[in-house]
Amino acid sequence: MRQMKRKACTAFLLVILLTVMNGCGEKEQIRVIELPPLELEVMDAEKLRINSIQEYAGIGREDQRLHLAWGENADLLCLMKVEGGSYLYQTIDTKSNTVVSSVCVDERAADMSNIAVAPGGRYVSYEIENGGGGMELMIFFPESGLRQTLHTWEDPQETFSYVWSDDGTKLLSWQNGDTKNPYADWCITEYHLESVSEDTQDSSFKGRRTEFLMEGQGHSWRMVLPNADGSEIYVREQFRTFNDSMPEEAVNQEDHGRDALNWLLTENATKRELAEYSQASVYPVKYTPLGLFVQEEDGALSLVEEISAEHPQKRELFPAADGQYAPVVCICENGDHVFFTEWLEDSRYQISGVRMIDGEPEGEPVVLYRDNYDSLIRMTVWQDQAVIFWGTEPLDHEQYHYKVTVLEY
Amino acid sequence: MCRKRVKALHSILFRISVWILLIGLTGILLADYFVRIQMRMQMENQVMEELLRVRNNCFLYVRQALLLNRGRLDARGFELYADEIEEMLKNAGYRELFLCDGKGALLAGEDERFAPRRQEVDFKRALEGDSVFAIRYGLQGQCKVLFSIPVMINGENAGIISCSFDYGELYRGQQNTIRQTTGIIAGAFALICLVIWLTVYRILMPIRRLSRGAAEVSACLTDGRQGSMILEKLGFQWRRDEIGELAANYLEMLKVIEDQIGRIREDRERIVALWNSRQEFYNNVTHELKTPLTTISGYAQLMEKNGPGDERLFYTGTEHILKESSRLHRMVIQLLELQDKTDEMRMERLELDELLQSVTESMGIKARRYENELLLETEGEQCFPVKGYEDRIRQVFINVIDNAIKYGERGKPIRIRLRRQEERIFVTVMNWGLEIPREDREKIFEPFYRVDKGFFRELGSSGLGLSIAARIMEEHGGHISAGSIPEGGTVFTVWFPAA
Repeated sequence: MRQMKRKACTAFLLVILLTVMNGCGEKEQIRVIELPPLELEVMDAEKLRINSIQEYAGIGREDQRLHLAWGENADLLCLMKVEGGSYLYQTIDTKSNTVVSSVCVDERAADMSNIAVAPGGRYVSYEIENGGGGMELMIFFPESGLRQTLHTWEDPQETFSYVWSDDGTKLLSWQNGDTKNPYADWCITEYHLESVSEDTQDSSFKGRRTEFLMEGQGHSWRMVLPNADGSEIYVREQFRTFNDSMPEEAVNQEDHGRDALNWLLTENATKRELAEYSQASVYPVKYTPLGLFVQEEDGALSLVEEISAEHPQKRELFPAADGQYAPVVCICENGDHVFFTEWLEDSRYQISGVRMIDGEPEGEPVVLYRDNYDSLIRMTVWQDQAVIFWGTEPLDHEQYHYKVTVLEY
Repeated sequence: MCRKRVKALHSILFRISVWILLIGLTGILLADYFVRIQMRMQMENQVMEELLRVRNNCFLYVRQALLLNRGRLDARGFELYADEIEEMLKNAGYRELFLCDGKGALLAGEDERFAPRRQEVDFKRALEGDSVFAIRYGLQGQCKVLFSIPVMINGENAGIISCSFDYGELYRGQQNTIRQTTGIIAGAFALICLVIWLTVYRILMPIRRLSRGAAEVSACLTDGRQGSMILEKLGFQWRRDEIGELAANYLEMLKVIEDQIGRIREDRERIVALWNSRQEFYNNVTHELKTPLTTISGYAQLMEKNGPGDERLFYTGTEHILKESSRLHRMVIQLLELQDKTDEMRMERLELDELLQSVTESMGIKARRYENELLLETEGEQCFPVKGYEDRIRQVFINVIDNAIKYGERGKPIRIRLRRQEERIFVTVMNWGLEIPREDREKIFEPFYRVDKGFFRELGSSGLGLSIAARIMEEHGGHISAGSIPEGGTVFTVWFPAA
């Protein structure tokens, strides 16, 4: 019995040794591994699908100060560039790659700044020095070539921000919260451009404007987001974020203990203060019928539904990004398509998107497009039909290659 | 030498060393084996994840290329724009690309490199619609992944994209990690084995030294020497562990053995001495009994021969026969007395001065016959009480005084002194005359021992008187001894414990 045990023990040890020694040595071998079936991947890709891709590429120079927008037609590109000291406004048919029209916005291109082309390309807003040391906010009507002054102010150190409503009919302007006198009252002005008569020759704006007087309460980031048609305007004044970026001695003591203020402005000039919905700093991205989309500092995207409620709730839709950079978010005017631009290695980026159903994302974002470009300038969603983005890649002699891509979905 | 080697092979230390070595080696190999398996699985999972991304990217780029070229999203479009797709994939960083149609015909890529590539298992499986990759591990740390993807567009297998990736760097990195891990594990195992071995060595070494000590002790005991010192020198008995307990118990056992051996040796010497004494006693008894019998027998034979007519021989012979038979009778009586034992229960309190006075008076007649005088002197106290049997003590004094009368010089007094010293009562009997040699002073108390056999026999002594006296003194807890005085003479000292 003892001998049997010894023999069994020896045999067991030998088997282990042989097995292990067989597995421990480096040897030449081929391993064949099968990936999961393709069908599942295909089904995932069906959630959001790109139906066509258009690209328009060109070469620009730094001194041309290009501005791009998309026309009412998906094939029509609106391009602004400096040429011969003047700012030109051109419309380009991307299919035929021909310039359809070209008009001069202003001959004093060097004095122009803060240029913004309205979605659809019907208006161009810009700031220009008036020669007397003051500034003017101008609106240009490309179709008629008309220019009107929307607003004039004498102190060039007072800076403004502008945003167009998604339908391109309303321009919103407001004083920045980090300028000369943050405690002075400030004003959000909504210019209703569609109220301007097409055949007018007035040099000053006679159309409808709505002004919302706001109380200056210290240094702050002021963010103004109109809804698709500009009938409602969401305003957020964020103090703590602003203070965090300032040296300690510059922080106004009065600002402490207050993170942010929220308002909802309506077309009939009513102003309603909203309850705060976030403990941390957030950046409002889009105000849609679904609610307010906000992005956290770490890149997570959340939705605040019923923003007018007594206690609005913020719900995370997409977690923070794994990569070094937070993705750039672009949301269609209805809020039912969300797109992300993420930077990959070697100057490559990818556009991914996801459909929203009843305020919930339909699975994970699907990669729609991938390319390598040095920088992506702007991305927008055009009429909830296409994602339009353009990027540049530097060439020699202060030239760069630019490319506009339209992903129709 | 051969026996030593066999012994070493069967030693516990050797066997444990072999087991530790085997277990350690097996442990290292097992650890290395599992680390390799784990690392390989990890690498293959990593490759699979990357290839899943590659597959998705390929689909994305194929779709992107077809949409950009406004091509048809089907096999025909894939065929038409294979070059654009290849270019796009190359821009995305993929190398060794081959694009084939659904039947395996090359659409884009270098033909001469494609020929061997199409024999690979991944390509064959892709033709069947499976996404498979093959990892080739080389001996020099090469690791190449061959991957063929069936391009599915709208559920249709539009073609195959085949590419390869070099994972050599990752594989070599893993190999290095495995080597380092194995080294660390081997080091750890070696350290553990060393610690275990040292622990076992420390446990076994005292046992081995105890064993050697036991062998030396055994040799010492055989030679009749003490061996416990050898074990004590090892000092293990002071340890508090099991070894200490073993050593202490072993040492105690050894001391018991040595004690027993000592007793056995003493008993043996005593038995030998007793045997010699008894032999001498029997020789003496035989001799002393034979002498009177020879005289009696001789006179009887002579009287028979001469007949009743020889009147002188008759009277002389009868006298000698009566004298010798009387001595023989006395000798037998004394031999019987020598064997008698005093019953302690019958001992009574005696006044020794009174008893000695009585004996001196009765022995005075015999002393005068030898022209001697007995002088009794008493020191100090008036009473000298002892506990004993009167007749037996009287016998002691008679024997000693009779001995002094017989062997004392004629005309010189015999001094008998009685004194008490602390708890002992001493009686000394001193006579002038021959001295007893120093070497015979102990032996004279043995039965039938004579300093000068011819001379003493002539005085009519049986040779048992002093032996009887010594025996009686022993029974009474006292002692008798012989000595001499410088001027020439003998002194017998008797002491009793005072009652």
